[in-house]
Amino acid sequence: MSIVVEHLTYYYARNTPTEYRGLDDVSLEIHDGACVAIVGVTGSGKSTLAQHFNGLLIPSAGSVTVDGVRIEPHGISRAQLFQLRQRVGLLFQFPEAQLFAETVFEDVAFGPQHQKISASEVKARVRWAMEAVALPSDDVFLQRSPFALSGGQRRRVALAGVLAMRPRTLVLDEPTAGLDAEARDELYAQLGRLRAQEGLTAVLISHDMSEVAALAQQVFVLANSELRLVGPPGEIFLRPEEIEACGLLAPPLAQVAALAGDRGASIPAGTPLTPGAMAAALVASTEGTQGASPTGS
Amino acid sequence: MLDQLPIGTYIPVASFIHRLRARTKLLLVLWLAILFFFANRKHFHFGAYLAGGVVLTLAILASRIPFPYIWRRLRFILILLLIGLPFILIWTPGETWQTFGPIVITYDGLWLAMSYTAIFLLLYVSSMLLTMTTTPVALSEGVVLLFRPLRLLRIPTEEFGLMTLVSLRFFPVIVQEAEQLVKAQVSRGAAITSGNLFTRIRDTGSLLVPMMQGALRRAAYLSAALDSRGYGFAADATLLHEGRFALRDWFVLLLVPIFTAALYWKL
Amino acid sequence: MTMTPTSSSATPPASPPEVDSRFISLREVSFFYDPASAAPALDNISLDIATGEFVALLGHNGSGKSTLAAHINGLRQPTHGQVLVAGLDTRDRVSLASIRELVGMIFADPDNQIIATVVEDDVAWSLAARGYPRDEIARRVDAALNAVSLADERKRPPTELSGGQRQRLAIASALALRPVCLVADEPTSLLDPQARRETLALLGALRREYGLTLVYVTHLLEEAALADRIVVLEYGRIALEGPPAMVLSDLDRLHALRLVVPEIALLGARLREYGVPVPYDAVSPEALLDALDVFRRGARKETAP
Repeated sequence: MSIVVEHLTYYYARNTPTEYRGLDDVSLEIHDGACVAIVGVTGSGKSTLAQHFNGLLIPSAGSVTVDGVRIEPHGISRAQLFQLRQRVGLLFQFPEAQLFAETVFEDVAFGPQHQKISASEVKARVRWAMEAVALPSDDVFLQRSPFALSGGQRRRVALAGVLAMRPRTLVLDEPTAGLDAEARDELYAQLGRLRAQEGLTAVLISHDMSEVAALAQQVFVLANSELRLVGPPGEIFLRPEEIEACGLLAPPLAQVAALAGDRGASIPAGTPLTPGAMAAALVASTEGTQGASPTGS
Repeated sequence: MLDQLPIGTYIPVASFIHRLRARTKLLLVLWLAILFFFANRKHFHFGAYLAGGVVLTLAILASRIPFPYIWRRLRFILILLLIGLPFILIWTPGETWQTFGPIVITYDGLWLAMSYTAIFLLLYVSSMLLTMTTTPVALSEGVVLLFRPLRLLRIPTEEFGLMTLVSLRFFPVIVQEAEQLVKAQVSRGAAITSGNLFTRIRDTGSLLVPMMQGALRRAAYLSAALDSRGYGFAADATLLHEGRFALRDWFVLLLVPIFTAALYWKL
Repeated sequence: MTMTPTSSSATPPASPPEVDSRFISLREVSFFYDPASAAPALDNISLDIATGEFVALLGHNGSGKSTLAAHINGLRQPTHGQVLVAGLDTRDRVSLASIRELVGMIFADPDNQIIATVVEDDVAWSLAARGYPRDEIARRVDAALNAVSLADERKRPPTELSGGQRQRLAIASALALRPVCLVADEPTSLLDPQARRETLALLGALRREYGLTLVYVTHLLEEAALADRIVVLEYGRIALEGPPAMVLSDLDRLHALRLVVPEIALLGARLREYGVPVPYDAVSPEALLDALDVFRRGARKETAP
């Protein structure tokens, strides 16, 4: 399912003295089955944009079309919004803080229970969702209190709660906030598996360019409520000054490539931003010969 | 979003009211509250409420805070009042004033509806003015100073100051967290802001536990930070804002009670 | 009866204090969150930190680094063993007052550290809470705000500041007590990338200007690499300890300790395979390219006729 955003503008606190523009004339397209990243600093509008994808926010001007359903400033019904929230699952930052139920089962089942499905289907969904996040799906674990789990486990329970609604699109707002490097890699690996299995469209919201580089096919950079840069990560990383102008930092290897260019050791344009390829290219730039090889180590 | 907050956040302006001591303002709000509840006994005598209205109108003018700013925040409480009033009108026993079919409205009911409306509005506006013209640190110092005599009874009054400060400082934060939580549950299909009443009440239950958890977690982090900043070792904190009463404080502290009490007796 | 502020606060040191190699001394410290459990959060840790040193506590989540940091200013007391700060024992309540002036601490979320609604009030708050006189408070607030470059924002509410500015405010409020040492528990983890960079730069500047001792908790190798010494924790024990060049030279070991080696360090390792003299602790683009320059000059010498 695709998402098409056309000239989207959003005002917070409309018609009050504290009115301010959260989004300014943003247009973009997310294709079915794609994995994209929306990147920007705090206050750039990225969360505001994400909340339009499941109808939490309605545009002040322009439109957002999600899976054929057009959301405009007026004229979307509650039923349509409810439908939308089943098709687009939105996971907020620090989702473990939203757990409330007495048992893991109840919390994960919260979403499906609002959908018109049978009790046995709800159970099946819960089990599936728990397995999808690599947590035990047996009754003993499901009856545990969510608050008895570790922080990492709780975050996964929250994700399971969203997955249990079987959305076609998953929007994750800063999913790795507060996680260490290892846990972050695990989460992204899990996400990759899910996408491969279910063909989900994934939208990652983040302020860390390097993090989303590995997974995202397309990156949308927001700054000051506007869409500033669009493109595949590799392309965008070639413009570190523009990235910095948006308040972000290019991934360290892209910074090395840019700095190398400034200092007269430029590497060829298509060099992949991996340690191996870059090392060879950097060394080649000094010797002026092609095909330098590492000395034995 | 946050501009719908019932309690006003501090607005830095140089005004007569701003320059008054926190204790002065606290004492005056306390006086008004006591007066209004006493005045409730004198049925159909509006003196105290009229006086209160005059005092607060003058105070708003003197604070240089625009009326529309205050009016917008009154809307929220007015809605609450409109919901509650019919119950007071209909269910208060006493001598009948009017009958509308099966509904009986008594004199007492009528008076209580009027006086409660007045009390609510007036106290609401006065606490808004209080928080709009006094920084939380000043307010907390005022609270500590006013409660200080209780120290003789071994009551830890210094902690009241911290409690006041933390409540005022984190109130907007908690509101924001609540908004975020509502969004998260609504994203899972919960009916909190719409839908039939029963499901809304049931789904609102999904907010209480996380709110409590969030508040406790925050409290734990905050207390670690405050401990790290050396809190809890000195008996008397230095006052950053409160100080001796100026002439204007005495002036107001004498004038307002006299004026309001006089109108209460006369009208 | 009022307690008078400790004498060390009345006459703050104008220059960095004399070097004490055991300014902070953890001696066989073990800590159990749950007295009944068998698994300690800290397991027999001994560590000395000298004045002026920059020590990074590195480890994955759950390795005990934050627990260790909390012992340094007495937020936590050891179940076994002893923590001494300038000779004062953290278990002694009377000493804690002085210890909190010697060791300041900042945390990841600035919003859970800011207590007031005006910038200068927040910096003043801890001084007021400890009973300092008003003129001294005014002086120290000025000094602290200038040290973190927030003097222009002094009358503003913290809610109007950016995340990076709010963390600077938290640092200023900690500096108001003129600590000898600052413990920073993952202070950049919630910040945007550029704010992260600025915070690290600020801490570095404070070290240079005031000789501040810095204990920095992180799970990021690229941040730990800036320290004088890295202490790597795993399951409550010190698994590895030494200067960044030494710790970062064994990438396999780091992987075994569940630390993700940043790509820039991997690039450095690959360049070393070609003979480029990249120092083991080089984690910035500048450092890598400097090494490349050295390499190029060397290569040119070889190929010169």
